[in-house]
Amino acid sequence: MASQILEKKTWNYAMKLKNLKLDPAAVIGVEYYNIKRVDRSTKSRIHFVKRLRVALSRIGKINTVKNGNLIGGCAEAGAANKVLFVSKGIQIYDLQFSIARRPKTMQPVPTCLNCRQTFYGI
Amino acid sequence: MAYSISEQISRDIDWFVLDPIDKSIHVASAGGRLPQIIADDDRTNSDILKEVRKLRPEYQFQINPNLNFIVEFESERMRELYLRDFIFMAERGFFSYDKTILGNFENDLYHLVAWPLSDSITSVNELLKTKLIKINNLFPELYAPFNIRSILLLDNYS
Repeated sequence: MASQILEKKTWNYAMKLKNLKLDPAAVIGVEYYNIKRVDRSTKSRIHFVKRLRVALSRIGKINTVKNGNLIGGCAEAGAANKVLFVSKGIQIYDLQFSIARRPKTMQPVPTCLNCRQTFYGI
Repeated sequence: MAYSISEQISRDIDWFVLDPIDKSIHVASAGGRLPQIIADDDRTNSDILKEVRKLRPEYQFQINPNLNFIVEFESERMRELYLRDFIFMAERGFFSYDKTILGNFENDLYHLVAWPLSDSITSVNELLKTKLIKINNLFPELYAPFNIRSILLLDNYS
């Protein structure tokens, strides 16, 4: 379960984007102890740390659509990549995720199948 | 330019159309699939959004009385935050709709959130209306979610 600090950070990030009239479908925060990062969904990402790239590639080709979502385009992938980039010692299954939020409405957004498989092994 | 599929999935795009009885429609995509007629021309849609944001609030509005049954709100504050953008649109003359199921590009269920209270439904300013894409089918004013694909299928929704 993510910390209150991360939830707050994610909330603030979503509110910032909302106020700027930016329109990502979702934002999320990821943490590993004191390392906390946020990111948003995006139409493509190129640079992933190797272990995340490998995990995403198990689902399919990165930046292609699978299970109704874009592999590597989710906010989860972006924020996780930022945390994993900090140290090679951090493993994907060690990451904690905040509630994903839709900036336009601040609603919680359910985790997609691709992210469940990548980050929770489900 | 067109909205790519990956752009549609990753963005929460506001799009606009005019139905056969000149009712101005706003829809929030929430990462859902766009009708082809909208997806084909991102520039026009972006320009319309910019113009809508410049409009002044001119209408009282109504909120879908069934909204709390359709959308789960954690608190009254969350409900207010949810409604903000849809009320913005209704105050400017748009029937405002939202995607019902989040995080699922393929799901085509939408619901009416807010609409303007006006004797005339032709409420959006005339200059802006000329820029809205006209569709062939009526948008429902139902309080329950509906499948948007059934409305836009005849308008090359793919």
